[in-house]
Amino acid sequence: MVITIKLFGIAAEHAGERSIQLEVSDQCDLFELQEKLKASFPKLESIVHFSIAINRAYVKENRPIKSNDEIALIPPVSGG
Amino acid sequence: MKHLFEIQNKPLDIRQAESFLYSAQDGGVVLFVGNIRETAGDKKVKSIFFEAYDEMVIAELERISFDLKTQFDFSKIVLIHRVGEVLPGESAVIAGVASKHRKEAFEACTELMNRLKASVPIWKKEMYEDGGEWLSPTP
Repeated sequence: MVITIKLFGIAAEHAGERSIQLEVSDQCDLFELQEKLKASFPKLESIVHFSIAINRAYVKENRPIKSNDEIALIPPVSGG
Repeated sequence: MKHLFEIQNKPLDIRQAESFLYSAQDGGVVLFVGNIRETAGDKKVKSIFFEAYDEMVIAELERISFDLKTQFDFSKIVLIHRVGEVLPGESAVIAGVASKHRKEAFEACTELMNRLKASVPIWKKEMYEDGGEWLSPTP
């Protein structure tokens, strides 16, 4: 399946896009997604510090990804 | 608990926070205003560009406020954050808490700002005369 990932801040700047699409397996889970993202962003060595949000909440435990999930790559935040 | 959480791309108005927080039931209102400094180390700051994942900002602030409510006894909480280009001297964020007594309002407002900086998906890029730089988290 193809999933869309929202990009922000330095990630969007490096990608030159506000979102990207990734081809993943139908049984894709968070760990597979993280590996695919690392391969897609070779410039971002610090991607290990990035978080993933699914449906507007941080996820840390592995879980299945559904095609209609709202997925975002969250660089280290710096608001305030 | 009542809350007001907003992302705005126009100058912030502290009166919006005041009018939301003030009431006859609360004796303590703490407001924090975060402004843009004109220097960062030895660099002159032209502006700071803020970007937010708007929908998740609101969701994360709601989670934080419910969590804070379990620690502090307050009745109202507000967080208004600016996005887009913000100039030195202008405000980037207003945080505020109203409670019966000042101690809870001070503590909850401090923790609100700590949590904002730790997990709310907002990013800043500091702009100089000769370029810009996405900033890492600051204490």
